[in-house]
Amino acid sequence: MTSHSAVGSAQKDRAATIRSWKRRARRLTPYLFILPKIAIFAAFLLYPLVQAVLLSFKGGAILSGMRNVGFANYRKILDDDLFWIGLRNTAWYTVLVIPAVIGAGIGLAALLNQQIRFRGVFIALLIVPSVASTVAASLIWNYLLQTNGGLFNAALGLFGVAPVNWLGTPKYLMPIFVAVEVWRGAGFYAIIFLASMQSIPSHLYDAAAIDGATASQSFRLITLPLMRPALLFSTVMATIWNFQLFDSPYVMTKGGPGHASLTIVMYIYDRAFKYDSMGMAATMSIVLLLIIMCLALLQLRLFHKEIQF
Amino acid sequence: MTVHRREFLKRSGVVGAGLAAAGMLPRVGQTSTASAQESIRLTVWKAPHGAGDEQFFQEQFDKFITDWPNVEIEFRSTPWGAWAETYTAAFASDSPPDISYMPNAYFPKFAEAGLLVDFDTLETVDLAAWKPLFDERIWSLGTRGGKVYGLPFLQAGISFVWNKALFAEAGLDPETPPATWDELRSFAAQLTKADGTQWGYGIEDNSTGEMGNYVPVPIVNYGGELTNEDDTEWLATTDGHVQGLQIQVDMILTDKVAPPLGTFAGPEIFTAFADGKIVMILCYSSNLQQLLADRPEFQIGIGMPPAGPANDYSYGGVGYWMIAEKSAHRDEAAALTEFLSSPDVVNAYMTLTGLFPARTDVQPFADDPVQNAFAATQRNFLRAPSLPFDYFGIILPEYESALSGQQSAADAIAISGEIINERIKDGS
Repeated sequence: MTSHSAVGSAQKDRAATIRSWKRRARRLTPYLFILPKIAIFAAFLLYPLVQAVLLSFKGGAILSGMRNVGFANYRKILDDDLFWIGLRNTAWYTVLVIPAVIGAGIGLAALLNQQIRFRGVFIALLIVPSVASTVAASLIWNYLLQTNGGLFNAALGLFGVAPVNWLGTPKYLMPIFVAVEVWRGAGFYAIIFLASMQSIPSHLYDAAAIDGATASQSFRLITLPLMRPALLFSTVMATIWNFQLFDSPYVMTKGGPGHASLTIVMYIYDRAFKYDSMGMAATMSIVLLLIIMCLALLQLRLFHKEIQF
Repeated sequence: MTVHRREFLKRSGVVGAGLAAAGMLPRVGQTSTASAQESIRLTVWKAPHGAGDEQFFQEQFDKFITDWPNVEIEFRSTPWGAWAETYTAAFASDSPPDISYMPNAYFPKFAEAGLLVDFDTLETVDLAAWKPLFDERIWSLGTRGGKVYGLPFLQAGISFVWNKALFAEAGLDPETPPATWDELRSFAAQLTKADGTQWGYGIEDNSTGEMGNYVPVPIVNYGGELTNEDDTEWLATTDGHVQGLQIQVDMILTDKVAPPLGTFAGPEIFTAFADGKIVMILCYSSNLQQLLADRPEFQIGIGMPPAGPANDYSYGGVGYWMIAEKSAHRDEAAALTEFLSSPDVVNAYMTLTGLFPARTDVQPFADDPVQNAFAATQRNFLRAPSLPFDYFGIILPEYESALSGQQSAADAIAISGEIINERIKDGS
C-alpha cells in the first residue's frame, strides 16, 4: 500500500469516527435537555415516594427511633376508624364538588364564548380566585361564615333569620367546602373549557342550524361531545386534586367539630406530626395514592373515546 | 453568519450546562473555616401568650446583645394550634431552634429522645443557685428521669370567673360562686336568657387548640386522674369521667345554658364574657387582662373552678426555656436562657401578659387586686400526663364531637381512651 492511500485511509477512518460521534451526540442531545426535569422529578417525587414506601413498613416514633414492622401498618388501617371517617368525608366531598365545579366551569365558559364587551377583563377576574393563596381565601371565608358578625349571618339578619352556626354544624360543612372550591376552581376550569369550545369548527354549528337545531341542542349534541378531551382532563385532575383536600378544612375548622370535616390528608398529617406515627402516615399516603390512581385510571378507561363528526 | 437551529440548540445546551456546573462550584476565595469574630446566630421559638410577644422579646434581645455583640438572635412566634407538628418536624429534621419555650406537658417526648440538653451538663449554668428560686413542684415538672431540662419561666393556671353584676341581677349572691359543677349547672339555668342574649356558662371551642385547658377539668373532677403515676396507662375511661364530660354536653345541648361550640370562635368567647353575653367561664388571667382594662366598670368575681365528686383540681402548667441538643452554641444559648429567666425580664413579661412568674422572688402584681385574686387561684393543678405523643390531639376531637352532639359522651371517653392506651402500648 502506498503512503498516499494509507493517509487517505486514515482520513476516512477519522471522518467515520467523527460522523459516529456526531450521530451519538445527536441521539444524546434530547436527553440532555430533559435531564434537568428528570433530575427534579427524581429528587422531589421519585425519591420521596420510595422513602414513603419504605417508611410504611416501619413503626414507632420518629423522634425516638423507628423499627421494621412489616405489613402491620397496612393491617392496622382496616381497624382505624378515623382513617375510614376521613376517607368517607373526602369521598363525599369529592362526589359533591366535581359535578359542581365542572358544571360551573362549563356554564362560565359558555357565557364567555359569546361576543361580549370586556370579555378579557372577565376572563382575568375569573382566574383570580384560583391564583390566590388558599390559606388567605380560607381565612376570608372563615370571617364571612362567623356566627357572630359574619357577612352571611348579617345578610340573613336583614330578613329576620337567626344567626346560623355555619362552621359548628356538621351537616353544613361539606357543602361549605364545596362552595369554597367552586368559587376557587370554576374560573380555572372555565378557561380550559373556553379554549376547547373555541377550537370547535364553526361549520358544525352552521350545519346544525341549517338542520333546524336549537341552541341547546347544538350545545348538547355538538359542543359537549367535542369538549370530551377537555372534560376528561378536567375531571381526572379535579378528582386528583380534591381527593387531597387539606387547606380549607385545616384553616377553617381543624377537622371539627369532632371529626365532621376531617379529610384523609388531614388525618395523615395528624398521624405524622401530632400522633408522632410517621410509619402509619406513610402507609395511609400509599393507600391514598393507590385509591387516586385507580379512580383516575377508571375515569380514563370509561370516558376516553374519540368523537368525530 | 447563519446559524442553523440544531447548531443553536447544541450551543445553548453547552452554555446552559456550563452555567449550571459553574453555579455548583464553591466561590473562589471563600474559605470554609470560621473566623474568630464571626457572628453567632441563635434561634428562639416560643408560642405567644399575648399580642405583644414578638416586640417584647425583640426589645429584650436588644438588651442581651449589648453584652454579647457577636450574637444575632432570630425569634419566631409559633402558633399554639400547631405546636406539636411544628416542633416535631423541626427536631425530627435536625433543624430545631437553639432555644425553645416548652410547657411541662409537651417536652417529655423530646427529652426522652435525647433531643434536649441536660442542664447539669452546662458548665456555665449554676443550677444550685437557680433551684432555690422556685417551688419544688415547679422545678420538678421540668425534670425527667432526674435530669433538669429547662429553666422555669412562667406558670399559668385557669381560674373560674363570673360577672358579679349579672349574678345580682339574677338574684344570686355575687360573692358566692358555685362550689360544685352541679351547682354551676343550676346557676347557669338561672342566668341564661331564652332569647340567646345571655348564656349562663361558656366553653371555648377547639378552633385555636385551646379547648384542652378547660374541658378536661370537670372530667377529672368527676373521674379522677387522667393517667397512672408513671403514665403507662390512660385512666380516663370510667363512668365518673363520662359524667364529667356529660355535664358539659348537657349544658350545651339539653339545658341550653351554654352556647353551642362555634357560636363564639376561639378567644371571642372571652370578649363575650366581658360584654356580658356569658356570665361564668373558665379562663386564664391573660385572656381577660386587656378586656378588663378596656372595661373598668366590669365587676369580676375570681375563684377556683368548681369541684366534682372525685376532686377539686384545676388545670395549669409551667413553661420552661430549653436548649436543643443539636445547638452549636450551647454557651451562648445557656447565657440567653439565664437572661430570659432573670428578674427584670420575668417581671416585665408578666406585667405585659398578666400571667404569673415561676420564680418566687418576682411579684409583679403587688398593688393589683384583680391580678392578686388571679394569683390566689394558681394552685391545685391536676397532674398533666407526660406522654411521648400529643394526647390532646386524640382526646379533644372526641370530646368536641360529644359536645357538638355527634356522638355520646360515653363513646367519646371510650374511644379516646382506647386509642391512647393503644399508642402507649405501641410505644409511640
